[in-house]
Amino acid sequence: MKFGAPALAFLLSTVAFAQTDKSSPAPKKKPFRVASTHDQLVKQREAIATRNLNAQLKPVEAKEQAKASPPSSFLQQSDIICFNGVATLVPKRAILAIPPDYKSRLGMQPKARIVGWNEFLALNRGWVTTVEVDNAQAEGSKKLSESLSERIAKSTNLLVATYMGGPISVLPPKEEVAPKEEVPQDEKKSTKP
Amino acid sequence: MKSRSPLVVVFAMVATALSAFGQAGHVYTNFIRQTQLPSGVTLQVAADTTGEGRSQLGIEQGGSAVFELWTIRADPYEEYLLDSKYVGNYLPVATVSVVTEDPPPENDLNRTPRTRADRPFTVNITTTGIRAQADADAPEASKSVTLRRHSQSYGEDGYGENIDREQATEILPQESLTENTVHSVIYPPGGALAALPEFAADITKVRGEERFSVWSVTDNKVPEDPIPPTQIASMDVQIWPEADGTIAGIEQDQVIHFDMPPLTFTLNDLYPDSHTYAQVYAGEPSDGVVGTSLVSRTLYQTTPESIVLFVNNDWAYAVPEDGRWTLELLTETPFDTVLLSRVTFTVDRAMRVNGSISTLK
Repeated sequence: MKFGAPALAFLLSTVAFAQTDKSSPAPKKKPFRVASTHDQLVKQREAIATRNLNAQLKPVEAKEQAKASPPSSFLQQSDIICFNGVATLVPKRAILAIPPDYKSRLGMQPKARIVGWNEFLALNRGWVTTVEVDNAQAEGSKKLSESLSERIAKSTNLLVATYMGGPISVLPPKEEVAPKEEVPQDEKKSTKP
Repeated sequence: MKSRSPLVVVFAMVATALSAFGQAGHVYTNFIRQTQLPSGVTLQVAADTTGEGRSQLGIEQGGSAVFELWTIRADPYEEYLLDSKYVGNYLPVATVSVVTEDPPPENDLNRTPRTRADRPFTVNITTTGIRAQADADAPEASKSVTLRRHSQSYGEDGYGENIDREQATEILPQESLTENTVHSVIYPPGGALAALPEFAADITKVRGEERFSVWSVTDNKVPEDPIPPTQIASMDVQIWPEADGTIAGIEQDQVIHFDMPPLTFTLNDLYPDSHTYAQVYAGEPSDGVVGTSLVSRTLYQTTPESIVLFVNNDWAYAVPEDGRWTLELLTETPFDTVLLSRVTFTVDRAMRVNGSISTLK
């Protein structure tokens, strides 16, 4: 199966949400209106019912409707490290080791200033250390080396996993799946709801 | 062995989070998170106010990733999702824009789109990369995307801060987009928000936000690791209520003989960046007349405000002659000039004596 060439460059942008027509003439004089009443507005809504300017929309069948909720909370997906009035946020599972002396530095403190990871690390190198992992280790596809595992276990600093310098979550190692034994036909269970 | 696509995401960001909710004095810190799908690995990258960079983590062949730009306010503790993008090797791409009659200024293009309860607005959804339905080799997730609409009231006098956006209501049905084009939809005044029960009695006071989002469909390309519908793009629009105002201290057709009465102007829900004033002019009411201003207030903010203005009894300078006069309360907004209240009265200062003059010898 072929896929399109992986040359898809994608621009992530937060600019220009509202369209502006730069070739437009000088602003028109604003109209004079009397404040609408509720009844007047109801009639306006009836006159300007939602309409498609091009018929490209089709209802989605109930069984196919997206049921995922809107984006979840950034704060709930993060661990907060805070010390001396400065705090930062890292993805959950990015912190690999928390020595007992530093447990109190997890969580937000009142009036703390939030900074990015690089700034926080620069201010706290005395007790925060990073561990560079690769993508396979982050996914849990490759086990951490013995030396790294030992380093994590014995660390006296708070250890944060990073990838190219950015905090990255490290998933639990994927368990090796033993070859499945052939199950007699009459013992197989249906997977259909 | 899984192959890793050299797909990189070049992201450019202009994050002026302060403009989103317009509260001066707050400090915001930006974060970008890349979440790989289906693994769930999350990488955090540095995010300045403006910048451009390449994603360090490639997207797995057949996989996808969600990029989210968040900004966090420290005091009080609050989070805002400024933008998100869902990308993959074969996933359609979408952008959403909202066009209102109150476009953002050149120096604040990131301002959340906004409009007023009585004005319609247009939503444009641009889709590319959608594969043909008849393409047997194309994954199902590449053949369509879903348009969703969520509405959420800010409550009485609310501005949208500290609301739980997961409580937004999906009023309109989900719709499937299967063409690569610009899908344009005009929404009536008040949008879908006006359908909420709390606005049933007075839709001129609709107050809240609507989110228009495009989602992928369930991706079953890897049957043992299906990727549920994920947001590809979205845009919000804030809908603010219509202003209302009353004049107290003078009655319709009142005749003023001596001192001018003190006046009180009560104004509710003045639109962001509006200029509101009371004026008086000679004669009967006439729309669009430029009179003598008695008092005014200009809002330099992105949220509405309710205020009370006062004029003492020293406004005789504005009505120098006897006769018929009109007093108006108006508000100039990005959309129009709106008459909120109007009173016509008579000034009669001439002294008349009832009696006769005679001499006594």
